[in-house]
Amino acid sequence: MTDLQTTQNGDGNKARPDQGPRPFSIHTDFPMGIAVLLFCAVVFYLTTLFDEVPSAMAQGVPPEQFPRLLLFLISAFAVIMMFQARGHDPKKRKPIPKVVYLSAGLLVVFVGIVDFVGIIAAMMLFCVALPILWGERRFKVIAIFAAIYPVLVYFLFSRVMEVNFPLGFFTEFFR
Amino acid sequence: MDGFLHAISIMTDPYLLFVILCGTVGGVLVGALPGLTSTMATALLLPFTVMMPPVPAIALLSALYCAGTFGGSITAILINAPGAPPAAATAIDGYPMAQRGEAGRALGMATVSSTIGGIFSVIVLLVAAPMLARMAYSFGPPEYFALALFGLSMLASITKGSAVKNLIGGAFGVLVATVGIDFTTGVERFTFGYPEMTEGIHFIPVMIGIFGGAELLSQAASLDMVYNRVAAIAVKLPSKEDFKLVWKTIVRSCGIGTFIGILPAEGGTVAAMIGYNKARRWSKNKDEFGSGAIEGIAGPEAANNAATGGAMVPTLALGIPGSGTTAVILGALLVHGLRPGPYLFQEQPDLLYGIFGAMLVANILFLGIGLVGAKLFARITLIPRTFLWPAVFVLAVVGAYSLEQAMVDVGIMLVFGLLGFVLRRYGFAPAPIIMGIILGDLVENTLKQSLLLFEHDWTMFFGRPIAVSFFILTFLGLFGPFLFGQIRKMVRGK
Repeated sequence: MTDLQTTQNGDGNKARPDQGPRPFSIHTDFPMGIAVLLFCAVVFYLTTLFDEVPSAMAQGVPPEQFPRLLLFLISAFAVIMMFQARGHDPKKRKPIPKVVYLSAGLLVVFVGIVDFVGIIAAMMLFCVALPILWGERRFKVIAIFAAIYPVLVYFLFSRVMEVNFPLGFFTEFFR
Repeated sequence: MDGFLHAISIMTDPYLLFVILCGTVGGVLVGALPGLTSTMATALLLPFTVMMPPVPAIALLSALYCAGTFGGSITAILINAPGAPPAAATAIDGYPMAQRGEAGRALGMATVSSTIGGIFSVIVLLVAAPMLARMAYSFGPPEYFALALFGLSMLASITKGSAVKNLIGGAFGVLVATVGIDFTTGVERFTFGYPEMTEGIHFIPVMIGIFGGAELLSQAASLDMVYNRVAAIAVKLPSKEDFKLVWKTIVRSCGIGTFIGILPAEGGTVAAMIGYNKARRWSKNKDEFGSGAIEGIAGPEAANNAATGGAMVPTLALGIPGSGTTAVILGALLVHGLRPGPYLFQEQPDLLYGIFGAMLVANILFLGIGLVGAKLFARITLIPRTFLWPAVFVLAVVGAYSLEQAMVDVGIMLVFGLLGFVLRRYGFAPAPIIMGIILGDLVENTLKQSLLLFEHDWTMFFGRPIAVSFFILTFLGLFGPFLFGQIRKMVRGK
């Protein structure tokens, strides 16, 4: 029998009222809460750097007031989140596999090289690199996919939707 | 009745019908693919629709929304992996049924109850949205501020993630919406000197990143996951006996789903879970639940599809999204220069009837698609993830770029993709952030307009009965579960 319910802290962690918190174990919501508070502190500092309001506009609500109100709310929620995590077992998370970091790196590289090699070449390289990174070894299929799919997407957007893509240094050079 | 006939007459346009068919087929496909949700699909599709006239554009997204909600049930039943979150409850009884050789019966029940739920909610939408819009004529900035606040407070009760994390996500979204020039003072905020940032962060790259980019990294983390597939057999229409067993469940779930859908920020997932729990609660065969009860399919499926029409009610009538996907549809309306609310009903009746009609036709179409093509659509899951996700990300990059034709939007998409993955890992759901970004301008602008109206005396909010009602609902939304829990404890203690 299955009943659908959310757990108290939303992470699927059960409270341990009979045993109390496990010694030397920190629930991930604590460091997360501290990170949120630090983020709020940094953004609060940024609100102090806003330009002066021109005197003709000064009758309205100052521009920093609303973001500060939000930062106060986020900080309060972060404290509540840390408070709620007391007495809960830290969730046993599987470590992030290396392939995730590599995939994230590949996304950054893909976006980073668009201006240099142009959108089509960047898409093609990405369509080759990610399947290989994820363990695909049917190289012929990868080659067909990388050759056809980016070109189709490019023509759909550039011809049908009239989007001008960055052609990149290489493409410009050959033109 | 006039509205209904008008909606039908608009549907005689062959181009519109073709667009709705594409949306429905596309919706069932993305709904069936684990990891690809209708929210992500509408976000990815949105840049395509910019070039289309508003009526077909929004009709396409609406059809995709309806069909995507249904599509999730196919893989929930056949491989125990809900294609979309609203189908999670369907897997509990659907997969055991499929394992014992009743996949066709389970799929048939999912299709029929989804269609009934969907059509019921479209009829409610047709009646309730104009009524709600008429009420909203009397809303001024204080009422809209209170309403937007109520919408954000409802994030506390959406099931994905903890209440407080959802509220942090919502507030963070509103903070993101403050980037750019402050409209009352003309001062730049958080632009870091980049001229591209003065107009603020556009929500489309954020949505594409937070749903598409983050999901790609989640998929990378689960590459070793193998699905146990149950072979699909021909889909069977529910028998008379099955109908006798489930009709009360379907009726109940239609009501639950539509009501939950109308509540701001709630959506199909919450509706399906409540629909499932209520089906079990009122069933004579409680013990069968979890091991393949037919009511365990009818309950959540009728409810999650009923939530689609319900969720469109506040989206269209008030501009407050009823779910994650309707937040994207609201975004699409804004991109087309349309501001949802009472005046939309007056100025764009064709658009509204187009949406009603599209949702109605989509529900009828996926009945046919589900009964005839479920077996075929189940094969979509055979597409290797090693090709599917690179293809999705390429579309995400191109989609994020194409709106303003600026690489800064691609950068924003990437940042929010990486951030979305980290936040998701720590229990923060993406939908509240999107809701916050969408409602951010409304919250801030109406607050500032109200304070100007009240000459900075905020106590004057309490002289506005409608605003006060929304504040009370906000308070109950935030603290109700805690307060009622305490009262229950006290009563039990006595």
